[in-house]
Amino acid sequence: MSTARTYKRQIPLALTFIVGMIITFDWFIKWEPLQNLTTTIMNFQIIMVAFMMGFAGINLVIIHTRRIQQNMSDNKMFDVLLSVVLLGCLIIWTIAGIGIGRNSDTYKWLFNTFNQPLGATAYAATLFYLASATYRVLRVRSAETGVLLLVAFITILGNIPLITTYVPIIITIRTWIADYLVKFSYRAITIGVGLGGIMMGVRTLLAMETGYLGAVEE
Amino acid sequence: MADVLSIWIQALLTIMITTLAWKDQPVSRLANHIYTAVVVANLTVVAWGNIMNIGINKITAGNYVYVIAILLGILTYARYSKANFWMYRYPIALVMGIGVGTSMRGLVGGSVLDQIRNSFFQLSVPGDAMQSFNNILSVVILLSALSYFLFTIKATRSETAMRFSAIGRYAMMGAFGYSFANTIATRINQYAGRIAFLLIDWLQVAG
Amino acid sequence: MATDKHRLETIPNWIFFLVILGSMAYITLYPLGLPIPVTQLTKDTYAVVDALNEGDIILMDHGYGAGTIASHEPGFVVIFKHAMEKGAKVIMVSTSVESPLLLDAAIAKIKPEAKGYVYGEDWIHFGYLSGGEAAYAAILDDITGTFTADYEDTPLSQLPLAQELGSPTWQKIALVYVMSAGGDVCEGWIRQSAVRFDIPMIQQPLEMMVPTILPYYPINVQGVLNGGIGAAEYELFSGFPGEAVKLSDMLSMGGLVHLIFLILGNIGFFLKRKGGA
Repeated sequence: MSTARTYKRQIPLALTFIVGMIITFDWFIKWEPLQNLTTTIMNFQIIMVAFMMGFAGINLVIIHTRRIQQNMSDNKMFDVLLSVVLLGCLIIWTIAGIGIGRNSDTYKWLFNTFNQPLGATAYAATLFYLASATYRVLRVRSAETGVLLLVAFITILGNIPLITTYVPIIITIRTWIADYLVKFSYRAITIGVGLGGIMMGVRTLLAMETGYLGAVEE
Repeated sequence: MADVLSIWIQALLTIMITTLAWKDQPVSRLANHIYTAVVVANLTVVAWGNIMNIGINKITAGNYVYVIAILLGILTYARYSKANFWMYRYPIALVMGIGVGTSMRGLVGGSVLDQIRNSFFQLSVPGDAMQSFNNILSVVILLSALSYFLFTIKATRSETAMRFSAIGRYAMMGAFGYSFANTIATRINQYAGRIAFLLIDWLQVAG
Repeated sequence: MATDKHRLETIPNWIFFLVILGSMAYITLYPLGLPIPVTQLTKDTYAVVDALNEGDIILMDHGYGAGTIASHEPGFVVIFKHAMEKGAKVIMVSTSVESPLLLDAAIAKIKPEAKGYVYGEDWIHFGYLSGGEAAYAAILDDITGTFTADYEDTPLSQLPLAQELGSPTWQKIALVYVMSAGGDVCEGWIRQSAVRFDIPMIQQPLEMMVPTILPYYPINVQGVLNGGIGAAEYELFSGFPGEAVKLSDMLSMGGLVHLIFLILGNIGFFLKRKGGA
């Protein structure tokens, strides 16, 4: 085994195992030094993940810088403008947030004026796609889809106060569906996902799943 | 003045993004690009705040072990270098180990044992036929839905077992129908907030 | 093979666009003010908050973003108000990057100072928490060991409520309240607080995430608010009517429109099949 393979691959895999076992043992062994070590390790996680959040900004800069070059040579000036606007907003918001301060009135104004309505509407505008899908795709083609649509129909009725005010039995049926049909179906899925998660976790700790390390260069 | 300007910009951006539902065109593309930028910028700002609060402040207070955390964080950016990509594996290995260890210990109890423990019901409730029926149905749904996902045991592919797991399939379709209906309610709620903003805060035609 | 569709199956998209917008706008202008039935899920959630005593500390994961504000903010506002009625103290973390900046608007509706609540003594917002489940575990072990300052960068040594917490923090927490759009966040909190320490928990996921949380109710989660609908029910049940109740008429109209689309599409499908046969 080459030295390069050891420090490029084997040591990270060993670290995953060691840290994973420390955290797991902490659940079962009540020993203060172990608990302190675990808490410190978890605080390390918070910091490392915070650093990883910076990848988004860097990736955007790389992608859109390339796009500007490509689109300028293809003479697609509107696309160039879009990328310039994106990079400009990225820089302005970052300077305002880090330079002036995320608690400053300036940054709060920018957030409330731009982030908030854009975020709220982008998420909400999928309502129209959903309506289109409801109309075009949801058909009673088989017994299974029939069951799906029947339950969906009753549940939508149950979510409409206009209907439930005059037909209260709908609420009883919807509650029954949630308490028995939905709960126990999803319970089976939860158990399955839980077992699968435990298996994947064991495989990761035992270095049987190594995809997270990235491509093998040797 | 700043408030009036803010409301008008908010209304304009709301309408720009909404046009995306009609078709993709310059106005919605512009709004999308602005949205992408401001979300990522906010992510960066908030991440910076976290690093300061949970990392740098502790180092300046004398807790020097967090220097290791900061160095590991910086090391994550080695992913952008082909020659030094291997350094990125150290922090990611730690993140994976921590994540797996933390979630696994709760999965056993929360997602498996507690769920199974709370699915054993008294199948026959004296004097309450409806509850007895519900309890029996619950157990049947649970077992049949679970059996639907068992592929590795040959006996589960027999005709009897397939018929039994079909019950689970129908139950899950019903559950997905419920989920779909709730998804509609979620989206309606979100857009209702925007319509309320446009009519009440912007145009001021409703109270 | 040509895909002949019945007339009822070929209504263009722009009609949906207009019908949905128009119907929801109409009901905003002319609200019906219909009563909203309160479900057992909401009543159970109310009972959990109502069982709090004066001085109990609630840990809130203020984890919603701009996209889900219409569903989550009313629930957060009404439960905070209910908690203030009970004299409970509130500590907040945010698992969404946008939620710290959305807090100001919610606090303006809650008005804690009107109830004599002082920031730092009765409620604290620690700020954003990255790192997922490991972070939840870290703050339940020792929140003052994780954060050095609150979201406004005030050192924790200057906040009396933070000094009360100490380590292990979970022993001081009477209730965990999670508002999040993400199923992974909701389930992560269940694993790290309810399963690990048996701390009572209520959750407000989005309506579409409620089926994912139902298996944990009432084993690990003692109360579940069904998104914005649940928030409207809670507002009515607790006597603090707010934004969610106002939006409920639009929910009626939107749901009705979707039902009509569903029926029309299927009628067209059956008529086509009948014609084909």
